[in-house]
Amino acid sequence: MEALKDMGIYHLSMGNIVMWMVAFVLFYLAIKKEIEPLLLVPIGFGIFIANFPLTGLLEEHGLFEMFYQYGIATELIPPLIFLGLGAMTDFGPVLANPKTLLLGAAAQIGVYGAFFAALLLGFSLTEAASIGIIGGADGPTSIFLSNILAPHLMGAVAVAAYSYMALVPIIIPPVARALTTKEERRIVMTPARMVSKEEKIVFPVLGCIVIILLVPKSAPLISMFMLGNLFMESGVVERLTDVSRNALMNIITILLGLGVGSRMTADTFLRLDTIGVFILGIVAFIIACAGGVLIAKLMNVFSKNKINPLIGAAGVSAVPMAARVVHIMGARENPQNYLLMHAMGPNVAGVIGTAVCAGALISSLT
Amino acid sequence: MTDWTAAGIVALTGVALVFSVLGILGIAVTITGIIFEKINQTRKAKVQDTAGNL
Repeated sequence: MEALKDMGIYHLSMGNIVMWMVAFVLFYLAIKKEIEPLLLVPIGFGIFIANFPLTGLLEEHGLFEMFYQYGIATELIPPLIFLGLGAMTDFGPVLANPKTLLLGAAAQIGVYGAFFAALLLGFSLTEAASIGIIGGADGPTSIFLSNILAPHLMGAVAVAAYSYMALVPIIIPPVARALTTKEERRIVMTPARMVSKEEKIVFPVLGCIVIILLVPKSAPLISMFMLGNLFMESGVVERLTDVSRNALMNIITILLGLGVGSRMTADTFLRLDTIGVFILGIVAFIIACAGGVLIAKLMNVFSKNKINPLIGAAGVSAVPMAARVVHIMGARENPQNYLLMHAMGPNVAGVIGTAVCAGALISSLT
Repeated sequence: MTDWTAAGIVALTGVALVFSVLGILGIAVTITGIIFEKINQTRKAKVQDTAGNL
């Protein structure tokens, strides 16, 4: 009997089995449906293993605990992911049409809409902020912020953020269609100007000066994002660019996935709060899309060069999927319409906007 | 008990900050674009002048 007590099976609870089911759903989404597989496979596996009893993986100096403590609790991994993202991001569309930065800002309205909705449901200010940031559709930023403000919600926030990012093709079209007329969706935008290499090199430095001076708490994310971009645009550190966007990115994605998944044990995840996080997450997404579209329409009132309001919906980060969805919507309304590069502007601006938003929330709530 | 005043301040300052930061960045980017376009035009004009002299 004593020997049986040393076996995991003796301590296995119904909660553990339910969490295995959650992990299997993530495996299904990642492997069968190919939804965010790079993250959902390690997160799902983290959940799966974290819910085995007696492994010691989550105790002090346990393997998964170290992934979490050294990688996420220290806030190391999300900025490193931003380094890789920066090394993959072309700011050309934003530089060609700086107005699109405002569309990236507009989509952040979703963060605050969900923030208030979460408060109405009884979440605290810090919890509400962590849930609201899901509306930014930016996984690393969501993890970064929730780890600082509400670490107990981080697992649910991360899974909700990545799941909804994958659902962008389903969420954006009905929202954008409901808020625009056929004529508006058919607007053909004038081709953007060519952006010189020098401008692209200057932008990361300029971006750091403007953003970090105004929102210092956004520095961990913004500085790494801009450094990665400077690597790429300078063209003189090909090895560093390559490591940032490939090897480093892949390694930290594994650590991030396992670290986040390991936080999702039955006692922390199987709570009413988690359902609240998922419901509010989609509310945040919908408000974010709507915010971008409505501000684009407002800009058209004052602007001579009309913009297709559909591109406002790409202000939710989810790069480049949101831009692609908008492009397809525009092309369906008018086959002459090529919105992809125009939509990349608000899309990339949305990444900056969410990081700024996170910095503002940290400044206000810590 | 939710502190709605604090929540309102957080939201208002947040939204204002996001719009002003990205707005200022937009202005900075526009100015930089104009400067670089001028530099490129000058450079092109010089190249044409040199070609003409040849």
